[in-house]
Amino acid sequence: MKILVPVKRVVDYNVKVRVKSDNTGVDIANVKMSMNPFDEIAVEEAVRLKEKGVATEVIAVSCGVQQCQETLRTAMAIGADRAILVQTDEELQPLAVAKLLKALVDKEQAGLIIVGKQAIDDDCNQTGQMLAALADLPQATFASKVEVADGKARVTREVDGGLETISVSIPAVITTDLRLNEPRYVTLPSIMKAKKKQLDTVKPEELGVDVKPRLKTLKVTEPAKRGAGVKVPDVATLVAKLKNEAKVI
Amino acid sequence: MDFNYSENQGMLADSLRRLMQAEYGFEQRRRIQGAQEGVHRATWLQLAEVGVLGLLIDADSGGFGEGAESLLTVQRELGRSLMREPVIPSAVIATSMLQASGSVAQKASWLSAMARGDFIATPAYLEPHSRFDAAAVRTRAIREKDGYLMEGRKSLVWHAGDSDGLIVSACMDTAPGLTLFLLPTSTPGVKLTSYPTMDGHRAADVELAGVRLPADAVLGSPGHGLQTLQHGLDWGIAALCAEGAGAMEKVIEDTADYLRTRRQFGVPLGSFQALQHRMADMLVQKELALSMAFVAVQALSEEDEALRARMLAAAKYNVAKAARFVGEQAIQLHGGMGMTRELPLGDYFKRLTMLDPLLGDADAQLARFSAAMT
Repeated sequence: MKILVPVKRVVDYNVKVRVKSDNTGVDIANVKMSMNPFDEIAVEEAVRLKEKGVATEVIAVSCGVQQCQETLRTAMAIGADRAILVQTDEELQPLAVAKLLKALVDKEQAGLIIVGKQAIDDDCNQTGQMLAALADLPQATFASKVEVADGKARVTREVDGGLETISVSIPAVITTDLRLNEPRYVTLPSIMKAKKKQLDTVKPEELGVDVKPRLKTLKVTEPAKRGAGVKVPDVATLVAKLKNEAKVI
Repeated sequence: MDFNYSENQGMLADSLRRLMQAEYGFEQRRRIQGAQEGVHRATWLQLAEVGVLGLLIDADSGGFGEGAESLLTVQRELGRSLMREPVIPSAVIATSMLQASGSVAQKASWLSAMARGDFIATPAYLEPHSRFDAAAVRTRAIREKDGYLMEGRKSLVWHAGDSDGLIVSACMDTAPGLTLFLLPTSTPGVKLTSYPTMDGHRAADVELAGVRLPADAVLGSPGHGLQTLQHGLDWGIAALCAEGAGAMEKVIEDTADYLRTRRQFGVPLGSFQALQHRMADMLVQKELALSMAFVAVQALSEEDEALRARMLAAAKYNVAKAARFVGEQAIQLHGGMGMTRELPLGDYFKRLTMLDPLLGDADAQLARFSAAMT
């Protein structure tokens, strides 16, 4: 069974992003980029399934600019066997990425698609679900545990108020939550091995997908600054404030 | 010289930073240091697994054959996390000496084990009287029928107490100049007195009394040890410069965070222009140190010996000077908090201060620079 793992190149989670002065987006010039942390968890899970003998090949996929090759090399250093870059300079939105992935799923005949539940840049949380709908595959989102046996994936999901365990038939789309695993550290030997692994590049047109953005960003602003706190003299005043001003009780 | 990391170096740096943040945080380091056990085996094996210990070792000997640029990448990250394991003495100095002058058998028996993390080696070249002069050696090796008999004392041997093997410099009556010997620390007649140093590392004094060594214990050829030793120390200086630059980077980030958070007179400390000026000066010094680390790395491939010596001496001198400045300013900007054990700053300050005496202090570097001018 092949596992397809889409990975996104995003601003590194340690970077404090700044909104551009014209409010059109976030300034990413000279900013450190790395793999979306949820996707890193997805790669790790796929590699673990391969190490258990469940999967035969792990294919990492990224969509975007040429520099996404670095992200794919990282995925291969974690343990992916080969990689595909769908190269485009166009701004990619979740629907376009889902369509590109659908085309690759059909081409590669992947048994499982493991993808991060959301990217830390746009926080959309849509690509996995859209892909499942487009490819007409069952989906198990927000996975915190994955077991594959007898043509089915038993997935424990993190839902409000607890854990839900579901069983989906394979092929399926799984989106990963934070607690699914802890990705391994990339080592120098694995980095060197990754250099020799196959990395193919395709264009969206070759996959027959129109990636034109459907949504227009009107404005991006920073979150409102937190106001200063106040001291209250007693519990009664606190309760009154919470009730009448904050209106939370 | 390309100052950008290659794709491989970038990945390695990212991985190391993540590893150090998760497994070698401030509390963890304090615990390890407090246990006074010398090398922390788990950390050492992790460094081997990631590839730090085999970084400079040829692929034939079980390493990765990376160059000085990758060394800079790695040491900068280790400096940020204030690594106290013997990476520089073993994986840089001893490794580069063995790489340069080791026989096939010596490389097979020492370097392969060093790359795996199973063997730690360190150079033993300083003596109680020698200050920083590597050529001032009184330890003697007498040629015998089937080997050598060694007598002498070495002092301030970096991590000798945690090492499995020493590379010892000695004079021989049969060959002028220095000769280097590979000496397992378990050899009868070797006595180690280990002690902690100010920066949380460890050192030891080594007594060599009636130590018998086989004929194949000589590293390189007899009488040519000083060149090999200087080669190793040069690699050590480049590594130390990069480590210092990394540590300064972290100190500046932490200090900037503190100034943004700590409030006085109703405003963050960082809003005061006088303090901003100090931060700017610290950043300038750190950038200077980083540039000097690049100079040191570049010097390692310089064929002109005098120029190489000048570049390394200048780099070491400037990095140590910048380190002292950045450390002192950071303490000053933190105020009283900078003096407490609650913050890691004190540990960084001690290490930054130790950069000067390690591998030759300012006077020794200036003397080396002057000597290389003539």
